[in-house]
Amino acid sequence: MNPELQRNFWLELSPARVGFTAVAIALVYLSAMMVPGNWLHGSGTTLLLFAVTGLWGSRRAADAIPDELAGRTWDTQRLSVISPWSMCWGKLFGVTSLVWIATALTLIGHAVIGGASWSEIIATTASCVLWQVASFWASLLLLRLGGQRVRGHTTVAQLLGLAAVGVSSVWSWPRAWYGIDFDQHTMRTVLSLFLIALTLFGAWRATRVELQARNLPWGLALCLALLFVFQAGFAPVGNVPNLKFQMQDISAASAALSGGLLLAAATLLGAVTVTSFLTPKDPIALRSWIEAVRAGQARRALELQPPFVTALAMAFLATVIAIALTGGVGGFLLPSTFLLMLRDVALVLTLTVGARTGRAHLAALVLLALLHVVVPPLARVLIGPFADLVFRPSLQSVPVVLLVEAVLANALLVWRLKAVGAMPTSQRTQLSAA
Amino acid sequence: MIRVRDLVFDYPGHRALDGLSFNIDAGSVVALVGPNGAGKTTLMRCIAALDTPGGGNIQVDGIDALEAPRELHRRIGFLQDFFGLYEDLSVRQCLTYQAMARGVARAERDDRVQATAQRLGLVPWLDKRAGTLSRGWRQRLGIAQALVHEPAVVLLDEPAAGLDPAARRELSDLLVQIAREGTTLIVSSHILTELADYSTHVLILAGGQLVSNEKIDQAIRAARRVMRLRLTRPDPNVENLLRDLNPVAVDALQFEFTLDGGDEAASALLTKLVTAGVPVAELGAVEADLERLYLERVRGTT
Repeated sequence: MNPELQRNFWLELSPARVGFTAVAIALVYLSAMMVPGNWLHGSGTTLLLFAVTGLWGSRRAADAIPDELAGRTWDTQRLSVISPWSMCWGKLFGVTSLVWIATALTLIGHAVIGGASWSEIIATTASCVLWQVASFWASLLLLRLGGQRVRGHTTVAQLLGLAAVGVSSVWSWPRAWYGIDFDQHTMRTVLSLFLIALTLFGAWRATRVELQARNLPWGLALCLALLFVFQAGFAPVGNVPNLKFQMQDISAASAALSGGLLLAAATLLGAVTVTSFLTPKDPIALRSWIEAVRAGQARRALELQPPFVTALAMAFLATVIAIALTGGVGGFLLPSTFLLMLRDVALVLTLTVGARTGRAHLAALVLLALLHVVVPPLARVLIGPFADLVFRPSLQSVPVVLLVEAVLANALLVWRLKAVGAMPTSQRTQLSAA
Repeated sequence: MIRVRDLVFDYPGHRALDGLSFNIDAGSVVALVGPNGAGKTTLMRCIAALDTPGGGNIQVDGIDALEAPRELHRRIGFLQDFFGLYEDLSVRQCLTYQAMARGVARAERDDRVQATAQRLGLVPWLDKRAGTLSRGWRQRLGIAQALVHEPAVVLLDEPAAGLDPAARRELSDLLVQIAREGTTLIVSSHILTELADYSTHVLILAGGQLVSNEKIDQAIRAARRVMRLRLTRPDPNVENLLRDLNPVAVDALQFEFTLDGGDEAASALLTKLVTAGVPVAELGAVEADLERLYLERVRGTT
């Protein structure tokens, strides 16, 4: 048996806890059966699943790592020979084992009393599982970002998990994917399963890093490629007014595909910014990577490559592919979005590299919010249409101003990297090579 | 058993380990000592493959710590300075989990747990919750967890911290027993008198650099003769008279210095001091031990 699962079963599944949970769920459904007009007859099971499988389950999943840190047992686990995959699923399924018993009892209760459709119940369960897995992954990422700091770790991880559920909900609105129509619950289920697969993969990779295994960038590259292909299936042409105008001369199918490709490339550009937040900003690790690149140590350089660099390479590839396949209908939209992303990533890294607290990341988030939401309308009032060239991707004009912004932001980043010791000196390079 | 070459470990803004190279033979019991911040814990974490150094190479029992950290974990036991236990598990469950997590085969697991509990005197506590154990017994359980998979190398960081004198003595006896059974031990501690009870070698670090790696008995035999001069009352001339010997004032009445030339030199020095009117109460050789050896080696490095 998976040792991590066994340990969690010992801790979680005491007869008293299992018995209490079973009695509590049974009483809820007994009440539903015997009290006329009980709330469980409508969408009650959905709410119950949200509370039990979602809220409680994601809390347990988000707490799995902080619990070990607080108990000073995490290093002991890292010293084990349990494989990263066994550690990952053993921990995830183990800490939520009681939640799963409660979930199973809830589903049995729903089968008895009826109510919401099974497709809705399955979609809700899938969303709740996504919440659990994403919270667990977020918890591992926060561990890499914030060292041993545990205050507020669980809640932040749980909120990030909830954000993943939010993304899947927003994503499921179009309901048409590569021309195939889905009903709302099926679409939600499929999207949740897709994101569960991605976040589980992310959690496995993060566990590997914690257990001193080295990751090559191909896994992340593959995930981003899948994201690109998946996203390209959605065609929100109508949501981008200028684009709709640009595409009115081509056939509906081509317009849909072109719109999907442009949006998929833009999604990958957004993923680079997200990845820049999630990449550990340890100057020593960055320096080791730069040293390996300079020394031409390909394998070591790939193992040490920060995830945002992989995302950047994939985003560039996606941009080139999208421009080539759409025949330029997007004008300068993608190149200027790419430059905007380069500026944003440089600013995020400048603020956060070498920082050991979450405050720097929060400051970077606030800065991006100001640059994208607050400042552009203000600037438009103050300096007129020129503000659009500074703050927004352009469809029709060459993005010279954005290029200047990207260059300046990256110069700032290089200065910051030197200041925190992330750029190798010649003496250090020699030492490392030796 | 352990081979370290050019080990470098950087924290942002400071180098914790600076080009360490040394070997440790199988079956040695190594006292890892050094001032606070010398890099002892970082070195142990690197040897245990918990932290990845910025440069250099570590091999333990033929396994490269950087290339195969998980394989290395199978052969190593590590009790950290501040370690945790699963408070709600029984002692038996804690040991069984560690045995499973360290790859002990299912058929051997129960026997290994029982044998380890026996070895550490934990048998009466096997079915008690770990959270109910006293500090001394928690320390024993921690050591038992580090030993249950019968590792070739055991690292112990401040294992006697927080223990009362009787528990410390028991711990010393236990480590002597473990060492006799052929396990290579590296023990980091500030309590040098206890380390001297069971250590065969001493590895001294200061400022992230290796100051010394030697066999304790040989080093003590080879140590320069340290003399201690005790006065009946303070004398302002004494430091001037001893100036060539670089004396260290232990207090206002006592001075220590090294003296070459054996008893003849000691006799001549005594005559010189008495002639000069120094109120000498005693002049004699100080017995060399690990603590003295350590102080001599780190003097001038900090």
